[in-house]
Amino acid sequence: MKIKHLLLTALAVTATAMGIVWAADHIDAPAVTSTTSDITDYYAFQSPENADNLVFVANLQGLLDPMATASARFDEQIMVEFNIDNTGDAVEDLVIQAVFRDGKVQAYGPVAPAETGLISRVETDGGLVEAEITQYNEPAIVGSGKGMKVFAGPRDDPFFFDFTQYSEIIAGNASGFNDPGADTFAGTNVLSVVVEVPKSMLGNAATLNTWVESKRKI
Amino acid sequence: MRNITFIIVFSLLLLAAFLIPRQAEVAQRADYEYYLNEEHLQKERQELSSRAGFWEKKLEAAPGNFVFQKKLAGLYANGFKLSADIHLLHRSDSLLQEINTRMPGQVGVLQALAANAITRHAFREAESHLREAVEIGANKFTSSLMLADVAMERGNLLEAELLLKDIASDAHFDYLIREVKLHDQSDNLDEAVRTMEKAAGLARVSGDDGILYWALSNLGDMYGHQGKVRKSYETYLEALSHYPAGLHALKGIAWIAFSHDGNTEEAKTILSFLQSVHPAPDYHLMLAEIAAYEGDSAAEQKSKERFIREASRKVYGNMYQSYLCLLKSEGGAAAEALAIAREEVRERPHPMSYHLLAWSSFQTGDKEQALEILEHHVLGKTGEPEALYHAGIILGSSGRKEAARRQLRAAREASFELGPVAAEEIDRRLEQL
Amino acid sequence: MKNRLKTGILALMAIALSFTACNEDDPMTPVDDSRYMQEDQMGRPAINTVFVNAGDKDNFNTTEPSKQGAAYADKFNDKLLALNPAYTTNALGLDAATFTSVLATDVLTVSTEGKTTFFDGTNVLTGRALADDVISVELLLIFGGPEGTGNPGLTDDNVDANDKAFLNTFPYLATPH
Repeated sequence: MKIKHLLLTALAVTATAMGIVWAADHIDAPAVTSTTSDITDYYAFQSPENADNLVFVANLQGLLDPMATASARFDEQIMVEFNIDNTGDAVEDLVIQAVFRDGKVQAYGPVAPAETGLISRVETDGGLVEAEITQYNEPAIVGSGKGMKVFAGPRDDPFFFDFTQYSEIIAGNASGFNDPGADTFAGTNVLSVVVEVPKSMLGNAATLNTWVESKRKI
Repeated sequence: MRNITFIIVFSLLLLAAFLIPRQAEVAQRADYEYYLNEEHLQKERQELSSRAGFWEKKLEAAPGNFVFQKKLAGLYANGFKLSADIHLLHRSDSLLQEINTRMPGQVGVLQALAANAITRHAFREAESHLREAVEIGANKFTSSLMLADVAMERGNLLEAELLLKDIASDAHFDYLIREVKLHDQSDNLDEAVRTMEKAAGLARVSGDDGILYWALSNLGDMYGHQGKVRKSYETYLEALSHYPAGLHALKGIAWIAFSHDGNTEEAKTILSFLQSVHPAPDYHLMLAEIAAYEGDSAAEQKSKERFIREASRKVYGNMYQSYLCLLKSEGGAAAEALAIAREEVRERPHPMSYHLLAWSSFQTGDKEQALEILEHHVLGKTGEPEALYHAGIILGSSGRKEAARRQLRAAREASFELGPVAAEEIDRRLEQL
Repeated sequence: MKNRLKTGILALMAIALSFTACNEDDPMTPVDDSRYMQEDQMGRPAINTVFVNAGDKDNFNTTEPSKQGAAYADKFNDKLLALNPAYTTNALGLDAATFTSVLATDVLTVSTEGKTTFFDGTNVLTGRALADDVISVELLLIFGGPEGTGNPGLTDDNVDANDKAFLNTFPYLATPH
């Protein structure tokens, strides 16, 4: 869990432009919107349903209360990219890219990217599996194809951590954890992207280095 | 025969008069009547209070939990915007301050404190929070954007430009809207509009209706400033279609009904709706303006007094200082206005604050002082119509007729923005020069 | 006016619909050639939160993993010793320099051949499953010393499981609250 932007929803700037009466608050900046690219968490594990598959999970926009979850949306400007290194050099050999368009999640890959690193293009050569984005309180919609599955939508935040007490310790206000601790993330949701993929599509290495990135369309 | 022709033609004309709306009138009730309903705002408020309830319950079970406190601080600040209940903003501030005291050095908390300070027009306080945030370093993008906000509010365009240059990215809505502000403040309205249109495009694909509403309602304002009243109106309507609880767009439509259509009754109807759902002092100002146009000086006086009474409440801090200054300078309390203007210049040394200083000096009878302030801090430094208008009056009464004409003519270009009362006054002044 | 707006919206919807239809027929509908630039990344849980100083976070999030080791190993080492000045080795037998140089390259290793878990007593870092108590593992490795018995108040946050049960079937994460 990365907790760098816990507060951005709190930001809402109103700076009144003076002068004219009717547009007193024109040009006041609204809440910061860059949070749609915040990765809160990342998981990679063998599929509980099929030992020949791996599952990748990326969670975005953390600490959503139920009402906020209903209106949370994936940003169409943002790509979620799972990176897979099967040669041990921490450089991605394969990527699975998820983009969001017209209410759908589209997952491209796994495919060797044309260029590695900080800049990506949608790798359309990787083939496509897509699904309608699941809405809040709707049963999970699963897209499948090429032996893969894809899901995107709100989920319970699977992370558990007494983050509050940890922070108090770091701030010097407490000397240790409580027993029992309290899960700071209990009762809250995230926006999840889940992709299941046959191991055979990821190369022959016994161990993969993997990570997830969020990228903004420029 | 002639009679029949006459009757037919007359009937047709009559029919046409009913069927074809008067071309001159832009604002048509049927277009926005749906939004003159408290239910839309109620829905937003209920959502917000249910969200606050969720976090309040968690906080109750874990007193002092800073994560929950932060969440609540954000929701209370938004609650202020929806309800005009200033106490919510103060509650937000005190939660943030509690966190900042117990666990100092959190960039997100400092940014939120700064955001609230900007809402309260406490720009120096905002700046000090943001400088601390930049020093710590995380999320510099947002800190820089907000520092640019403060720099622009304080009239420091060059600093804002440098801050923004460092983080320039056309891919970010948050960046683009600062660029809009920079263009606007540099009196490059056309470029500001183009940039805001770009930002609205990003808002459209962000999936966030609130952001899209915000972009469109501001775009509506800006089309109005360009004199494109119909486009402004249509943009407000589009904004409302995405966020029916949007009060700013309705306020803009009220201004169109008044300033463009001359339909004061319609404007008053919209404003009385706004007042009934959102008891902020602001609406009294427009009502006073309308009353002045109608020649109802008793109503004008009453609205002004109500504004002064409400906006002077201590809970608002600096929020309405500039308006109070203007009203007081013209309302026989020029010395008081001058004191406010001095404080404004300290808080916000923007050409518009200096314009207030010049204007209130002028009202106290100190023409020389007023002229000197104009020349050093206002003329050529802002294109805000109100500053041009007041500068024209000051220059004219000091015998600088040519300069006065230039300022007044420039202000006259923005007659829609200034409103019919000021427009008439400008014409009168120009004739006398 | 309202009618005009409505027509406009309908026209827009028609366009959207035809796009959707197009996608249904041909999932390979070409997408635009736009470039996407990185804003955030993550490998192992909470590494950024624990080890990266506030002033470095923006940079760490946009440093390619293959370059993170060189840029951050020393800083992670300093951070570890700031968190636990008495650190010698941990339960994996790693001294500070070795431990932090592993962590500084923030990738999650995943086994393609067996059990995937952050740590289950036997397997170490073969993946990260939903139920793994990753925080307690990390705390133990940072504060627990060679035997895992040091600083007992700091080695477990005493939150051992999620508040909602995970699913046995895709997408595995629990439904939202």
